Amino acid sequence: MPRSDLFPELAVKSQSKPIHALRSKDGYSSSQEINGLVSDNLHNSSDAQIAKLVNLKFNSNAFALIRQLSQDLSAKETELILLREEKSRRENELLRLCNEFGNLSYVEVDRRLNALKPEKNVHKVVSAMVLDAMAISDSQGSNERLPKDVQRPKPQSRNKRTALRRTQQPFHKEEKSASTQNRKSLAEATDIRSSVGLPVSPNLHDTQNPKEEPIWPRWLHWLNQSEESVDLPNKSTDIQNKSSIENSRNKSVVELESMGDSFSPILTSTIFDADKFGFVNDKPLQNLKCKTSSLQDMPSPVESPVSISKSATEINLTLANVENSESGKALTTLALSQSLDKLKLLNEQYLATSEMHLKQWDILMRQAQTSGSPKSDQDVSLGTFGLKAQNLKKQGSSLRKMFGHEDELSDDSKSFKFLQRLIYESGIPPKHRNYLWFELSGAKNRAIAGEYQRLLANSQGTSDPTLIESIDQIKLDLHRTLPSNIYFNNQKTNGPGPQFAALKNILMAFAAYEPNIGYCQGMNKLLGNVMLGVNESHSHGGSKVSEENLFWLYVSIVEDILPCYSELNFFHPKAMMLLREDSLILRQYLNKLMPQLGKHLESLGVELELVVISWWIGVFTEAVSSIDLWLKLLDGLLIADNPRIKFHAYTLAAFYFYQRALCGFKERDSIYGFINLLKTGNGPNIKSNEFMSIAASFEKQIHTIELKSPS
Amino acid sequence: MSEPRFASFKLVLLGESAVGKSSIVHRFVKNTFDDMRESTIGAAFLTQTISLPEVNTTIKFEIWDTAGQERYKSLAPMYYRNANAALCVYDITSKASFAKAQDWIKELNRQAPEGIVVALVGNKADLVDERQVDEADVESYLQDLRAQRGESAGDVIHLECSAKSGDGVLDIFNSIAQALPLEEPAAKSQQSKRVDLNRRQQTTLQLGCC
Repeated sequence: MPRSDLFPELAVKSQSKPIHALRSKDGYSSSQEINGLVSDNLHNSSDAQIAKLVNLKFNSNAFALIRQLSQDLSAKETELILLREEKSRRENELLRLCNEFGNLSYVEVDRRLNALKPEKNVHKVVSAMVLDAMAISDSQGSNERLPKDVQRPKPQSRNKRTALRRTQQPFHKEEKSASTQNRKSLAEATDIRSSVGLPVSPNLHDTQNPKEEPIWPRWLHWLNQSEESVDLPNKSTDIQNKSSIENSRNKSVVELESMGDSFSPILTSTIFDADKFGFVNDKPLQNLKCKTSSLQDMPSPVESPVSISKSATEINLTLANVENSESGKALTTLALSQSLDKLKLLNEQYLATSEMHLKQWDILMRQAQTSGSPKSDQDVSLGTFGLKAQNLKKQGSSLRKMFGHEDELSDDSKSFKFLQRLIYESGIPPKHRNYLWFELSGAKNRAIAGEYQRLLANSQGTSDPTLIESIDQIKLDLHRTLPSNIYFNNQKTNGPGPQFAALKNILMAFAAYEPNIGYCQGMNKLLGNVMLGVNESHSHGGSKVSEENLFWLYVSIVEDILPCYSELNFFHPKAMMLLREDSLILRQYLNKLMPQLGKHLESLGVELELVVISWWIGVFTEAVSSIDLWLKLLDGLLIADNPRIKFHAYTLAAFYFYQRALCGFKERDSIYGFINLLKTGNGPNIKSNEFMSIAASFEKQIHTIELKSPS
Repeated sequence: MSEPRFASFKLVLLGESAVGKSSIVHRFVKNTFDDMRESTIGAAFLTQTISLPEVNTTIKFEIWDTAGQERYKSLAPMYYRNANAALCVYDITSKASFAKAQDWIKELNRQAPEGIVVALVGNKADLVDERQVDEADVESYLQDLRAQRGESAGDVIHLECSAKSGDGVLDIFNSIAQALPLEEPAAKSQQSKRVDLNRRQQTTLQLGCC
C-alpha cells in the first residue's frame, strides 16, 4: 500500500503549498537564516517603530527589510517542511514497529491515527502550549503540582512535542510573561466563580479527585472564546479575558499576509449577537417561515432524497396523534419516546450522512493534492482541478489516474461525475471551500502578481468618465451592501466593518480592470456573499485568502463562471436586454415543467420576467433565503458546463420549492410580496441537497424542450 | 351614497440611484425609516392600500420600486408598462438627480401608457441646508412641461417630502390617488371587488390620517 494512502494527512500537508507561499519561490535554500528572524511581532509594531527598525538595522533600506521578512518566511516554510518530513519518517517507522511487534495491521493503525483529529483552532493550540510551558516552569520552580490529566487536556504525540519545543524558542520570553498574566486572570476567574456561586475547587493546585470539575479546562474554555461565546459574569473580566486572547494571538507564527489584513474572525461571536456569517439578528419576521413544498406532495422528478423527509412526516403524524388521543399518560409517553427514538435515529442518519460526505471530500482532496502534484510547467498553471474541474475530464491527467479511470477511454467523465455528485449531495464543505473555489473558478490561472495594486492605484486617480461613473456608483452602494452584517457594517460604532475596505477595493479594482463592465448593482451583494463564504471557510481551517486573491476569485466568477450573452459579459450594460429576452424563455420552461404553477401565475397576471430578472442580476442572492444554500448554488455554478442553463435550472428549482406557497395565493400582490420577502431571509427552508437534485433534474429536462420563437 | 368601490393600481418609482426611492416606499408602506437600507437590485415590490372616503373608494397600490443605476434603464419599460402612475424621484441636495428625474419624465411622455399619472417628487426635504434644487427652478421647469404636454395629458404632480421624517410622503400618494381615473379601472377589476369589504376595514386601520 502506498504511504500516501495511509497517511493522507501528511501527504496533503507536505504537498500543498499555501497560496501565499508562491511569493517566495526562491526561498528554500536559505535555511541557515533561521536564527536571523526579525519578523516575530512586527505586524504589531507602530509605523514609527518599523521606521526605526528600517533605519537602524537596514540602513534606511526598506527593501532589505522586505527581503529579510521574505527570507524569514521561507525559512519557516523550510523548517515546516523538514518537520513534516521528520514526522512522516517517524510515523512510518512507528507503523512498521506496530506491525512488527504489536501485531497491528496497517489498516488498524491507520484507522486509529485518522481518529485523531488535528486541532485547527490556533487559540486552543496556543493555550495548550501555554499550559505546557506553565507546567514545566511549575515543576521546576516550585512544589505546586497539577494533576496529570489537568495539565494537558489531550495527550499529544511525541512529534508534536518536539515541534512545540522548537517553535517555542523564538518567543520564549513572551510566553512566560503571558503565562503570569494568564495566571492572574485565572485567579480572578476563581474569584468570580465563588462570587457567583459556581463550584470552586477548594484547593486548586492540590486537586487530586478526578471527578471534581477541574478549573483549568474551564479557564481554557474561556480562553477559547473565539469559537463559542461564553457568558461572562462581569464586564471587566470580559476585557481581561479578551486581552489574554490578544496575547495568545500575538504569539502565533508571523506571516507577511497578516500584516494589514483586516480579517478578524473573533468579531462574530464576542461583540455581537450575530450568526455564523456575521448577520446581526434583527429579524422579527423569522417566525413567519412559510411552508415549503415537501417532496412527497408533488410529482417528484427525482427519487433519491425522499427517505429522510418521509420519516420526518411520520414523526409529525405520531406527534399529532399523541396530541389528539386522550387515552392516558402511558400511551402518550410511549408514543413520545418512540418519536424521540425516531428523531434520534434521524439525527444519527443525518450525522452519518454528513460525516460520510465529509470523509469522501477529505479523500478526494487528499488524493487530488497528492497525485495532482504538478509534473510540468503547464500543469502548474492549470492547477490541480483546473477551471470548472476540466482537468478531471482530461485524458491522462493525474487526477484521472488517481480515480483509476485512465484506461477507460469510453467513459471520460466518470471522475468528474464523482466531484459533481459530491457537490450536489453536500456542497463543498467549508474547510475545502477556499481551496476549491480558487481552483474551480480558474482564479489560480488568472492571478497576476502586482496587477491588483496597479488596478487599485488606477481606479483612484482616474480621469476616465466611464470609470468615474462606476466608482461613484460603488461609493453610493458600499454602505448599502449587506448592512446587517458586521463584517461590512459595525452597528455598534455605526462605522464600516472590518471587511468594508476590501469590498470597496475589490469592486473598484474590478471597474478599473474591466471598464466596459464597470460596476453593476448586484455585484456588491455577490461579492459580499462570496466574502462571507470565504470567511466561513477560513474559520473552518480553510486556506487563507488575501484581498488580492479574493479579487482574482471575484474576477473569475464574474468573467468565467456567470453566463455570457452573445459573448457579452453577464454584467455588461448591453447584456441587460438579452437577460430580459432570456427571462421570456424561462417562462416557456416553467409552463412546460410546472404547468399548474404556470397557469396559476398566468391567471393572476404575474409578470414573471420582473421577478426572474432581479434574481438573475443578484446571482440568486435575492432568490434564496439562506446563505448556506446560496453557497451551494455557487459551488454548483463553478462546475456548470452551461451556466445559462444552470441559471434556468436554479430558477425553476426555486419555483418548484415555492410552488405550494405560490399556488396558495389568490392575489397577484401576495405572490410578489412573497417573493419580495425572500431577500430579507424570510423564505422557506430548503435542504440544499434537495434543491441541487431538483435543479439537476430540471437541467436535464430543459434540453428536451423545444422553444417557440419569441413573438 | 354609491356602493363602496375597490381599485387596484400599478405604480412605479423611477429616479437616480440613492435619491431615496425605497425609503419613500418603506415610509409609505411600513411607516419606517432605515439609515442602512440595502440598495435595490433589479426591483422590489410592495403594496399598500389607502381609502378615499369622499368617493367611498379604496385604492390598492402595487408598487414597483426600481433600481436606480443608469444601466438598469433598459429594463424600466418592463416596469412602467401597464403602470397607472409613476413617481419620478430626485434628491433636493443634488442637481444631477433633478436632471435625471426630468429625463424620466421625458421618457414617460414618449413611451408610457396613455393617461399615466406622473409625480415629480423631491426627497430629503429635511436637508434644507444642503439644498441644491430650488423650488423656483422646479416651478419654471413644470410650467414649460405643462405647456409641452398640453391639457389632455393631465397635470404633473409636484411635491417635496422627507422619507426620514415622514413629512409629505402620504400627501404624494393621496394626490396620486385623487388624480387616478377611478371609474375605468374600478369597472375593469370586477374580480377584486368581491374582496372589497375586508380590505377596506384593514385600510382604515392602517391609515387613519386621510
